[in-house]
Amino acid sequence: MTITSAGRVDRTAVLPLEPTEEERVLRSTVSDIVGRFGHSYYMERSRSGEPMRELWELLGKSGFLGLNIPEEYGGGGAGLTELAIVLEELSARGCPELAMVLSQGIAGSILPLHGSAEQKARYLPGIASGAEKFVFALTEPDAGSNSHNVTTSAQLDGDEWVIRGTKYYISGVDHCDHFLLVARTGTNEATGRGRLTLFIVDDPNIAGLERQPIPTALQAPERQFTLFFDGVRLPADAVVGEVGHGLRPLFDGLNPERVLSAVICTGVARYALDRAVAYTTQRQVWGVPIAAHQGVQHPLAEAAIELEAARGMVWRAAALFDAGRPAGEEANMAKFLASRAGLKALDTAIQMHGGNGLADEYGLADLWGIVRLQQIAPVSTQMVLNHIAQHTLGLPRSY
Amino acid sequence: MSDVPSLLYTDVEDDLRAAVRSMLESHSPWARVLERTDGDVAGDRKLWTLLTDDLGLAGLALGEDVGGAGASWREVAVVLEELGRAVCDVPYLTSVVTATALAEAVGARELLAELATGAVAAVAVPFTQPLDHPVSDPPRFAAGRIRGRVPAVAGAAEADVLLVPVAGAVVRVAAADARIEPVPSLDMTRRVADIDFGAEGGAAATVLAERDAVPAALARAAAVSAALLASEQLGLAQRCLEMTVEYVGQRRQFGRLIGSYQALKHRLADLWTAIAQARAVARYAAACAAVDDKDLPVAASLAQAVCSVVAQQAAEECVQLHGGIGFTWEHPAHLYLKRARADALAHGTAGWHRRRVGALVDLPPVAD
Ligand SMILES: Cc1cc2nc3c(=O)[nH]c(=O)nc-3n(C[C@H](O)[C@H](O)[C@H](O)COP(=O)(O)OP(=O)(O)OC[C@H]3O[C@@H](n4cnc5c(N)ncnc54)[C@H](O)[C@@H]3O)c2cc1C
Repeated sequence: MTITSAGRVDRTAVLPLEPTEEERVLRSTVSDIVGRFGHSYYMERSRSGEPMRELWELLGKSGFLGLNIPEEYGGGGAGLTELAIVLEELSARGCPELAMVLSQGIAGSILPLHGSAEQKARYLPGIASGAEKFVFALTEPDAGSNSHNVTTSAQLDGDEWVIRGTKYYISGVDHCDHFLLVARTGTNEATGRGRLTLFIVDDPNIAGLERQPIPTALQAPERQFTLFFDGVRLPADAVVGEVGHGLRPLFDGLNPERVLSAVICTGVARYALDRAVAYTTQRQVWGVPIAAHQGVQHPLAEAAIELEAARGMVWRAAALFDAGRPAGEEANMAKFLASRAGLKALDTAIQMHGGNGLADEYGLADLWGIVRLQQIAPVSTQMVLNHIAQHTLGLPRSY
Repeated sequence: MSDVPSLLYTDVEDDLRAAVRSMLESHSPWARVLERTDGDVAGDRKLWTLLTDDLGLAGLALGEDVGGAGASWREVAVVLEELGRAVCDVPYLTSVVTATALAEAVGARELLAELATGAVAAVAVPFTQPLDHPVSDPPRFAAGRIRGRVPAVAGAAEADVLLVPVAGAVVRVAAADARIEPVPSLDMTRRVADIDFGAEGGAAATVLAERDAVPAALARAAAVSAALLASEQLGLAQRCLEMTVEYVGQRRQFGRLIGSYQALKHRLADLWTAIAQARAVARYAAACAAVDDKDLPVAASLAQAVCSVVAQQAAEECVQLHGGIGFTWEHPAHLYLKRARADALAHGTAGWHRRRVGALVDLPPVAD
């Protein structure tokens, strides 16, 4: 192993066919921890809108939240693969944790590469231990898939930035400690696109910032908010990377985000298939377990096949990323396959439960939102296809 | 359509179907169709004579004033269902539907009278091309002569008369005056041929329609063709389903009829529902063509968008669920699969028609 200039542990790009002993131990340890809480814990917090604090703290204390953060900042110094394993196991036990995508996944990937020395020292240890949580504010009413259209502006006033504008669908702001903010600091005269800059908002309760909840179909502990910035003042050192070049750090958060979104889906798919197997082998309707019918078996088998195909791509994308190789195509493909496989497995499991599929007691239908979400946010399935069409196939840009 | 017509089959249509089916069972069993695919002759002349002379099916949709039977495209659609069902090699779609619709649209009464008696005509446009979609290099017409080539025309080798769209006109050419060269094609139950009118002197041609009358006539013939082709696809799909149901009801594996496995039952049930939808859109398209409803363009493209896909699905399921035997020459499945595949390209692909439906229902155009 060597440390790359980027500070990431560089590994060779290999993917073992069998899980290593370390992976087995990591999976079973995390799985045991989550198993103590179970899906009812997730459900209860989804209802109350409180974070899964006890689980989060236990994972943090055991060092499982900061696996992708360099050791010098209190992290595990491992990689995205290990972090993704943790999140997949959480999801496979019915406790998918969106906060990990945002905090460790996005902020935890961007800051080691683009943060100043002070920012790294200030924020990374908190991300690694889980004591401080980041969320991420990019989307605006007129800037979703097209982030170049961001209109929330940051203007220098003396040595402070003054932020004005609106963000929406921002997850978890009510329970975060800090957040990353993308704002426009200028316009590229040639293209008309915004020159974007990435900021850290240290205090989510800062003066001039209002938030309003947006009710959504997502049943998760994280709530979504519209954020109104009315003259919020940020210090000059809140900028991450260079002024006007915010897309660069942003892009370094994208692949981890794709992989982590994907493992939420593969994890929930595993959870759903486990549930379906347990249920259909015990439930009898015509004198034999319903699992004896091909109409029940085959859809589950298909879901299992699609799940394993998706997982193959997920771990490949993670391994490439950890080896410092270009991983954009694989990460997008992984997210595409996993979001479909997750939805299919969950939907099939719901169907095979009959009426119970919709009952809270069986803990399936409430996971629909978090899996379905992965086809919309942070990039939609269509934008993934645009990426593959353009970059993998070399087709003309269509939008 | 303001009042949606009944999409059910009338008694008259049922009787017509029974007469055609019985004729085809005697004179066009699939073994004969298969055998003919190895021969050199495009179109089963003997069968054509039986259909046109004995059953009088050539002028079915034509008025009695030109010697037709005074029925409508609805009845023609029923005949096409039966012809599709038996993958017959007769130029019915190309002559009785496409050429007749064009002749009718340009008011070529003399030609219509010939068609009503069983003369065979073909419109010289590549089979895969919607008639109202401009071809890249159409034949040129000047001073009573036509020059140039048209590739891959279905029903041309069987034709007595060719109707040729040229710039600003539709002209009539005697098939004998053109060089018609059959080319091998996937579906040998409906062959295609290249037409060459010659480069130098060309061939003699008479004008049937000119200028402003041309686009509307081509559009009408295109819509009728697309609408009616759907019935052929429907009949084909229906037959594939029947053959397959019959087979899974007698074939045993693991000590059971394979049709008792849910995996196969459900697939066939899915196919049944797809065919029910195909029937609805095909019947609606035929009904719109019959009364020249203003919904015809939408109905025709919708029918193609659906039926092209369903016919292929049915033929593919037929091959798959027959196992190895479905893959052999001695089983008709391949005839259906090839016809379904060729039909899916004919008069515009499903994708082309989906796009057209989009334009017709005012969806924003796709960026090119
Ligand atoms: C529950 C939830 C949580 C979220 N959390 C966050 C968060 O924490 N932080 C944050 O910044 N954002 C968040 N979002 C926002 C999310 O990232 C956006 O919704 C997403 O990027 C899509 O943008 P949009 O909603 O504006 O859709 P649009 O961009 O308006 O897209 C609408 C539709 O058009 C399609 N489309 C758009 N452009 C093209 C094209 N070129 N080609 C083909 N199809 C196209 C899209 O695929 C989509 O189907 C969240 C959203 C939800 C629902």
